[in-house]
Amino acid sequence: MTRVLSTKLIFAFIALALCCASTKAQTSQCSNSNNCAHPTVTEPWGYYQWQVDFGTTTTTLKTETGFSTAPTGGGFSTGVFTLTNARTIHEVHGAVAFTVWPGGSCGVGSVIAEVHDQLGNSIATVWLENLTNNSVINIPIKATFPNGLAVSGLNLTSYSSQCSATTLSWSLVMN
Amino acid sequence: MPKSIRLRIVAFSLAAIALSLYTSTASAQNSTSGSGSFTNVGYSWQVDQGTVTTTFKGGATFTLTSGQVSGQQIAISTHNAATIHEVHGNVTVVVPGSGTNGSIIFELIAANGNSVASVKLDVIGPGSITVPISGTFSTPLTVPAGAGAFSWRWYVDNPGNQSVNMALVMN
Repeated sequence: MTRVLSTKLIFAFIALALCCASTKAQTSQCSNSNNCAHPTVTEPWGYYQWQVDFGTTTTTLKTETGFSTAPTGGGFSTGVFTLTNARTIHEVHGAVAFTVWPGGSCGVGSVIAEVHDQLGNSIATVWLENLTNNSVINIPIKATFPNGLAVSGLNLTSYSSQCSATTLSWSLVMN
Repeated sequence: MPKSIRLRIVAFSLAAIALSLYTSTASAQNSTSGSGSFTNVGYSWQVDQGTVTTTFKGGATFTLTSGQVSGQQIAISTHNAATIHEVHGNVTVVVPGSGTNGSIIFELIAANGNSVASVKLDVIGPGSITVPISGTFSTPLTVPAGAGAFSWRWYVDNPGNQSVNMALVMN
């Protein structure tokens, strides 16, 4: 069941990527060597995918990471990926979602997830934990950067601890 | 709850507490961290500072016995001084066992006694709650470098297994 639901999430994400990449006046870049039609990168512990859409003003990050098991040592980083449009952001809003799928041995999952810029500044950071018998955690992200943040690259990092499969998703609009 | 499951949850929580400094490997970040324990309480924290942002991450796990109270204040050190205009992040409380009620006061206080974030959360187990934190300071808070830049406080008086995690980005 977990595998089926995870697959559905992947396809939903890919569909979104295809949809949004075709919007006029918007440019996009994606994971998997900038393959927006198939952004999924498979890892020994699961998969990740991200897409960044640039309008004339906004920069939108969408990601999904699926952990079948925790990565070795618990940590994962995409490394800094350089954005095709460097911009100074003053505000971010969006959401983060975290699912702990049924079937694990202890019924709980936890993740520290962060979106950093190229200089190690945190645009958003959460530490989420949930039980398998609970609903998905969805929380809003809303923040301002009064002095501005000059963003030319992004880095997705996480540290997970889990007994069940988990899924983490970011959606952040920056401007 | 079977003892084996309970032990696994405690082990899991301690693994989360280990935190491992992994997240401090982002480039150009300065980090401070600490961990420790009291009777039936384990905790860890980390502060990562970029050129603009200061990020606090702290987690604590409680396995209090009936009648036990844990009220603690932990000194948090920073690498750099900071001025805080805004804070955003989250707090999560998890109570894995049935028959246990979680009730926690959790706060991050700046050196001058000003509260950066403060929550009092209740959870009926098994269950969890996650709340977003978003705030601005029209008069910015100043935080010095070094020991005692922040204080991290909690007050817990319900027995049983419960854990609390806090992540806050300040700039």
